[in-house]
Amino acid sequence: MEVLYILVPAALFLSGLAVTMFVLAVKNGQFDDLDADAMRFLDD
Amino acid sequence: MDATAEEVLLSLDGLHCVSCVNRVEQLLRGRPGVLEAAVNLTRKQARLSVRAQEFELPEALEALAQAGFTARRLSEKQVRQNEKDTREQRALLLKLGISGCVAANVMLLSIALYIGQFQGIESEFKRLFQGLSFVLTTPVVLFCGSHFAIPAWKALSNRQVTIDVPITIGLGATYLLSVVSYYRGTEHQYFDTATAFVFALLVGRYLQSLGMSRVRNSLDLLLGLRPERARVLRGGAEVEVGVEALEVGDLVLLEQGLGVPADGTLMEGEVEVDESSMTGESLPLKKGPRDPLLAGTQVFSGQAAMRVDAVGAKTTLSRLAALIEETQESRMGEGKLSGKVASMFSGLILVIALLVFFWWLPVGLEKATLVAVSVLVITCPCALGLALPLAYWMAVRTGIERGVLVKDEASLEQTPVLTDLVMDKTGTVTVGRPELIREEHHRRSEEEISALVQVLEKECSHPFARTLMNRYSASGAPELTAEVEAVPGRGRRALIEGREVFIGTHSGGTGDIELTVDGERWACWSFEDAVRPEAPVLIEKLKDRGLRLHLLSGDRQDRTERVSQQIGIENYAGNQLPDDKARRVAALQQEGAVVGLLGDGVNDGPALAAADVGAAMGHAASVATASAPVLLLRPGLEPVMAWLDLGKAYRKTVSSSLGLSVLYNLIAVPAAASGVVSPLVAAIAMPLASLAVVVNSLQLSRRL
Repeated sequence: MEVLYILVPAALFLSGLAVTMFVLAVKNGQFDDLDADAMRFLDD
Repeated sequence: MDATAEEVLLSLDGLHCVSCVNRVEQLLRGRPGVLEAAVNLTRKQARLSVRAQEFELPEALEALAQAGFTARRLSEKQVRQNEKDTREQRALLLKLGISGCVAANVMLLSIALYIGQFQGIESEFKRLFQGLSFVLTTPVVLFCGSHFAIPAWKALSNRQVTIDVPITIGLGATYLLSVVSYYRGTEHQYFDTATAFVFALLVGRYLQSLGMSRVRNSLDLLLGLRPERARVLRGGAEVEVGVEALEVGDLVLLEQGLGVPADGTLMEGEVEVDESSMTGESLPLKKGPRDPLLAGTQVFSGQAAMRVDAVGAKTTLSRLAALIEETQESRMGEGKLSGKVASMFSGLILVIALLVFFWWLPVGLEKATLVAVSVLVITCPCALGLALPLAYWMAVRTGIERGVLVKDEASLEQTPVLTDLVMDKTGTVTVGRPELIREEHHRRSEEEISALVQVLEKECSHPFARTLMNRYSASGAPELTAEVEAVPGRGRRALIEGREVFIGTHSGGTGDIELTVDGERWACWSFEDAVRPEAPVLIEKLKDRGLRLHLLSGDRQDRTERVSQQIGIENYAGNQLPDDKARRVAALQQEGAVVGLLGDGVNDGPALAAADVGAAMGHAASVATASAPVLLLRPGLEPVMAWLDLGKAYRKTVSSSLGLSVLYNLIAVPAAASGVVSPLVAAIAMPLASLAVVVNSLQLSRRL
């Protein structure tokens, strides 16, 4: 079970990465308009 | 970005889908001076970054209008509100995302620990997982939990108890209990409960905040659009001036696609006007000479000249804007009834939780804390703190769409329990304009009479004269010229071809107006203020609802009687002065009636104020003077039903929300107090109940 000593930090690192991306996305205003982007693909 | 770049925020109407978004963005980017344009469909706004020297706002607005989008620059106050909303929503979303991610991870760790209890787990991993849960949970509680802790602290320091207080105490207790148990090395910690609790609550708050800003944006939009510039006839020449330079009495030229810059009266020409921004009426209305025009409406087709009657802050648009803003702010302020009840409720929860805690204390500190936390968490005062304001907001919004502006929630609550409806006659049940009901020509041809009427009444502004002019203007009679003089209070007189011609009232005459030539009567006319065509049907509907109807009028008794028979109202009284009407209303109230009053707002002021619910008819003039809590924005009687329906829908919504909440609490609180519900289940149940109540409030418009 010693593999957990690698897997747990790896998992934590990955979720930390995800949270960082999310924080950046929010700060960039990517979630300000939830309607237009949901439909934008219809326009292509 | 350019040093001279400036931000412009526009509110847009007519925006429905992504292709609209693309069209608007492309159109705006094509304007000179525009560096960047971004449209937000959720908020129905466009954010422009422009070079101020090159950018012409009015032209851009007009280009948008031609493409079918009504745009308006947001006022500074609205921009600030808007930025505040954005900031708050982003902060909330951030906390929501972080708590969600952590909650998921902590949950996985606790699943591992839980399974480990059955299958066995090496104590070093057990300690590792517990420690990890602790480390991950701490920032969530401190950072994400601050969303509840800071308001709770603020409320407490103002000696108030809000729903945030029990939430904060519950969260804090769960966390501290877990920390203590971690250091003492006992079996159970509740870090998963704490994070899931924060996450579930934040989801509820985020949805609520989205709903609120949506309602606010639609109200912003509704305030409509007033053009920035207007074309005016001054000294015979056509000049373009800024709207702020318009003066009362100016002649403004209107054209297809332009907005009406001020309140006024149409003088010449014919236009179709889209008044949807002001009255909610979706079909364009035809307007001819002497019809009133409202600032903020759009000319749909045709051309006309308009005389300005009110400018700036005196226009109906500005008044309506001020009214709506007032309504908004009064709702935003704390200390309303629902807020008070919610804080009492929160206090009650604290007391119950404390009692429950001491009740369970003999069993053990840990169990007692857990049960108390469950009670704190599971109770849901959302129906009071959240659903009632939201229901009121929805009512205001749907009301405006249907031509009713309700200024306070008390009158909405009263509307469905009305037993009596008192109506004013002139301008309410009737059109408010005299119409010709009878004419007699005595042995004279129509042409002779027509010629005389036209020369005498051509320049007279009395309503009777205007009606007569309309009647005879198409007859093609020969044009006469004469020196006309007014006989004050009676009519007008002229010497035509050596004969003295008089038009006006005559004592002893049968008609209201007569035409005499050398004392001999040639014609006479009777006028009556016609009953609105929709009135009889409406009266029928009102009676079906079990309302007792009364007609009170300042007009003569016989005319009041005639009108009330025409529309089918049994209780009527004429010769009523404004104070008499108020006394009548008070007398009815003493008999135990709940009285609604429908008046035109001008001379019904005292009665409107005396009634339980006063509703004022929406003439351009009445918006200012109305002391009524309810304003009917569309002309005619059609919005009366909308008003009554709205009251019913509001009541239904409120009572079902309250019912839901009471039912939920009746089940949940005893369950939590008896210790069968774990804090985690409580943390999931409470936001679900909140959500159910919020969704219920948002359904208000479907109940109409």
